[in-house]
Amino acid sequence: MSTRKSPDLSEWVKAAFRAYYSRASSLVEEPTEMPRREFAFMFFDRPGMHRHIVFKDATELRRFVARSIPRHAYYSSAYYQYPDAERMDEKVWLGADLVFDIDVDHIDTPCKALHDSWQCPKCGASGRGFVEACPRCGYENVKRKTWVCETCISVARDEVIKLVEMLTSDFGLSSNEVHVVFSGHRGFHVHVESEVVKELGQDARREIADYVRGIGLEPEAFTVPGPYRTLRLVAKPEDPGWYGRVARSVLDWILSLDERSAALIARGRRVRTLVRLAERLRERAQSADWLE
Amino acid sequence: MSETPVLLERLDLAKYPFLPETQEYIRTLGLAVEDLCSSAGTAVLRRARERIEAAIERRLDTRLDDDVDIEILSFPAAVLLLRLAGDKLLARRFAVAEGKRVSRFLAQEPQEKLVYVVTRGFGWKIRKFNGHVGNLSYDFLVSFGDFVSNVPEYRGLWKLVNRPLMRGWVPVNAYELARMAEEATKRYVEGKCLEPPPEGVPPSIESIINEIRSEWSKRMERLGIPKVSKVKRPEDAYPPCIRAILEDALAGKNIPHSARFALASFLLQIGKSVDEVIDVFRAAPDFREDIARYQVEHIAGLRGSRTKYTPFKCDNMRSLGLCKWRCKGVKHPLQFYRLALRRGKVEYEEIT
Repeated sequence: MSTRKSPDLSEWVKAAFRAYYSRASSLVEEPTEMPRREFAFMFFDRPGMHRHIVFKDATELRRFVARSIPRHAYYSSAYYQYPDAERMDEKVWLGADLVFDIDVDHIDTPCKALHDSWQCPKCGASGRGFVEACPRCGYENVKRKTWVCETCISVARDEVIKLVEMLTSDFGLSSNEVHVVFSGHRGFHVHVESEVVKELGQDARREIADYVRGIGLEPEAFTVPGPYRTLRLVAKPEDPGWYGRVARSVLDWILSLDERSAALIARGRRVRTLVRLAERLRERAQSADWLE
Repeated sequence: MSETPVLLERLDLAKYPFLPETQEYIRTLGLAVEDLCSSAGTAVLRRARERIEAAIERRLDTRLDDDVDIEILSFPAAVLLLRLAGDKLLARRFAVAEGKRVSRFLAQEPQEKLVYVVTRGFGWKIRKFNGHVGNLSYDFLVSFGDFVSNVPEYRGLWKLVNRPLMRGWVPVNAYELARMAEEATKRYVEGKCLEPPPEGVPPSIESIINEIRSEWSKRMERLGIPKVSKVKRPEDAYPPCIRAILEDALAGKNIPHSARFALASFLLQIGKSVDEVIDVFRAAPDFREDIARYQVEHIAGLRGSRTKYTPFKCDNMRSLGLCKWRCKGVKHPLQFYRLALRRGKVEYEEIT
């Protein structure tokens, strides 16, 4: 909120917020274990972030919000012994939720061509859609105008569904330990509030993120050496976790082989052999229930 | 799975110092700091010192003293000596050695006892599982939280993504479970040794600590950054990840924030000046001297929190997509640099 705005306008916005809080604050689900978390707020009439605030319960929080009309409200995903201590080392970290941030502006959706545009400040080129860098001069800090439409949000939602599926099937978390919230603009936050993850350290959390993103997959884990420098896949489609995922995607790829794609990886008679293998597998796959 | 009763012998208490039973037994023996000067105390101290010296010399000490009580008490005595010595690196070295000792003992135990020791000692959740996934067979299931918190490294079969994961459970074999116990022991012992030292220590103990300190510093001198380096140019000793970022930076490519941080903190740590580091970024398309200076000075610990930052360790470089290599025996880019200076080169291969 800029200071140059007329006082009338900021009063009007504040009144709208006040009306909203009095109407909707009871609908907002409060976080668990409130007294262990740090809250922070930004206000209309004071600059900066006001931190190190603690509430003993939801009633106290709602009363505070209704009275002070903040324009932003935050709470820590970490739990502290002394959440109101001013220095991090005095707070005494007890644990934290596991939070995933799924943001659509990192995903190249087809609709971006309809509502996004870019302009290169270096060479002046411009265009519609999503580019990593200026296609003419290669400059990477292009100016972007972006919009988030329903298609974008549904792409983010698909990613959320995949993540929640993985958290429940692979990690065995129950659906009441996994909470999905709209992040307010471009995507979703997925919160895991569970004793299993609470005390995990930084390395352990990075391991879980790597697992979800498939980072660090090594072919040696799913194969054994075969004849002629080949690798034999030992993972099966029905195996748990990435074993199954790897096997299913290899199988999908084989099933999709035709003369042209087989020629990319083999030569001579082997092309024919591969295509015939794919045909045979396709026939057998009719009855398999793990294929879609 | 602790339905099967497991009988602990007194010798087990000497092998596994982290068990609640061991701590209870030590309490009943009631040895106070002052007692360490008695004749029984001297024997305990001698054995404690042996264990520390073995750690300093990187020797695996799996000896068990004939007098089991002396063996049991030598662990808390060694911890006491290290708390008084107040040297973090030495504490780490001792913790590593004790971890290896424990995993060596555990590898020889029947499975029931192995499971008892790790569930009772570390609170792990474990289930029996005799099955195989892929071409590997397993003995147990551990919960994923216990797994990711106690693996020795985050690559190969120790990386969660390369393991079957079934509704929160990770299959492991008995050898792997003992190896995880090594990590947990290491953390336990290190934590113990870093506790603040007690007061009222007899002078005779002071002299033992001084002797340990001097042995340790002799050993450390041989490990420091050598005065004569074995590479022609210092750049030849940079790890491949840092060299790749450096080349991109000098070529004027726009490199991500994380890569800039890794490069700047690496160069500062090996002794480059703030100005030398700023020069590296001069070719960046969005270079602004004032901003670059502010950020490099921050990383150098001249601003803000006054912390001098170190680059990311290899595991984190990999997760950030900045590492595509496997460097033999290296867990941190700075470790690569020091090893390369000392040996002339470090073996590494590119992961495809």
